[in-house]
Amino acid sequence: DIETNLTNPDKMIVKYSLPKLRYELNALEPIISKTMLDIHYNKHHVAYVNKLNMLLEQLQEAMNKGDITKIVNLQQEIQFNGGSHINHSLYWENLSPSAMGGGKLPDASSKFFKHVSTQWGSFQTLIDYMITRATGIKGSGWAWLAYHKESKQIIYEETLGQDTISMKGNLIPLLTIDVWEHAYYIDYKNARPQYLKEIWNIIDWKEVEKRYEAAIQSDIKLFSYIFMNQRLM
Amino acid sequence: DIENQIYQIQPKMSPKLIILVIILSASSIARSFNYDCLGNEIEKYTLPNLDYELDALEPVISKTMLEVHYNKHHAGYVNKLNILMKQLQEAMINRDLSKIVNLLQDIQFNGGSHINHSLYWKNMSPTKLGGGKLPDPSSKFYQHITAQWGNFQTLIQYITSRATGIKGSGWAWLAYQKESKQIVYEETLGQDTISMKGNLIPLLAIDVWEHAYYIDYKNLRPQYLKQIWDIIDWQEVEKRYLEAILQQLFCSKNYLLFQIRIRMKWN
Repeated sequence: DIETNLTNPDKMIVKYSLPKLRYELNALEPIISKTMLDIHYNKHHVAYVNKLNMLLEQLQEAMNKGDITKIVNLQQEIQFNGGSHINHSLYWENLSPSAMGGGKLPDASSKFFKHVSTQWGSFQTLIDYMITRATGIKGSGWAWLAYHKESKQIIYEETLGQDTISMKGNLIPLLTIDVWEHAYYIDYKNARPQYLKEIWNIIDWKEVEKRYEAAIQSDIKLFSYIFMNQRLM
Repeated sequence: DIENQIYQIQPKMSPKLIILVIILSASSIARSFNYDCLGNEIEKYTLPNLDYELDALEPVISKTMLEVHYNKHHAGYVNKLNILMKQLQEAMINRDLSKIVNLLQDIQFNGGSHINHSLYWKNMSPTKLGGGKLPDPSSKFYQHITAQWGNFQTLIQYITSRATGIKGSGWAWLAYQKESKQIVYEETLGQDTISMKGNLIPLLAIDVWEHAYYIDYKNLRPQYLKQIWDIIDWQEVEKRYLEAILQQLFCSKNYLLFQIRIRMKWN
């Protein structure tokens, strides 16, 4: 989703764009209504992307001029809008209508299923835990399932505002749930617990599993690299 | 200098009023301990009564939105606060430090929310009750604002632009800073209170949690912040300002002696 401006190589401006949804705007009903998805995607996410592009252009200018004050001033806004773009992109990708597999747990023989069962007992335990914790997030933020690389654990995490999961450490995002009020207010108003209860019907566990596989693969690659180097030494 | 300030306010403060203020603060301090030492409930926190009907703030805040915000969100915080306070009292009686410490964050959140929302309802008002009407140019408050900010329009534009930029859930404030005697803009995130930031007295609170505007404005927070000035109750803001100054004088040394001196001068 990145296009670069190659006509002016001195000023490479990277432009981010809205990722395409794999489903129609009404496909997540009745959990997420067409109206709510439309506004969340075409108003909120779009605004973050547009703001991000503007800020990056300003950053490039500031870098060209060596204006350190300006560079520093831009960091917080870029983190916010950029983080938002990352978070929302992950969110759309890990949702899916039931017709496309949304809500369907992974196969019991899969590595991912076994890892979750070993660590959490069962998917139901994990889901109940996430609902409880995500309900309790005080304000705007995100609820995550993440893979922690050093400990090789699948853990629950929270971020506030538009902070990304990788800002918290060596964590690979597996599943993300938006608990900013705009993510549920049109359909659920103040009833965040209801939104968090329903959303499991449209969680795309295939996507979560795919991210898990990629996360452990990168571990294996690193391991074999070190192993090879040690043998050579 | 303080003398001059008092001279200007004094005409509004009869001895009867001073006594009333003392009695009221004493009783509110007493009321803040909701439970006696045996854990019996003296008084629970409750939703404050609104000074206006649920549809009175239309079209700026619709009846539906005000109803959900007041009867669902604020009521939820108050109920949670009462449950937590009871648990806190029990934990204190049992000397369970672990439990006490665990409760504090939730109490700060729900209690802060109750404080913030109560201030918010009070500093709004329908147009026919004075909402949106700027204070009188001869008033001390008006003069302080213009001395510090140039004019009300500058202040309003500043608050609007800052409040638009609050990243996430929080509150925008006008507050009186006690040491510097300045009227300052401040922001809090989540349900943090303005006093958590320091020696600040809240004058004006504006809720920028999405639930405060989503039903009527959806993602258009700037629009909400532009319209809300039509229902800001500047009389209430002014009242809080005068009370803040009064409080300063009330706490200053030799206050009583000074009061006597003034009265003797009057007579």
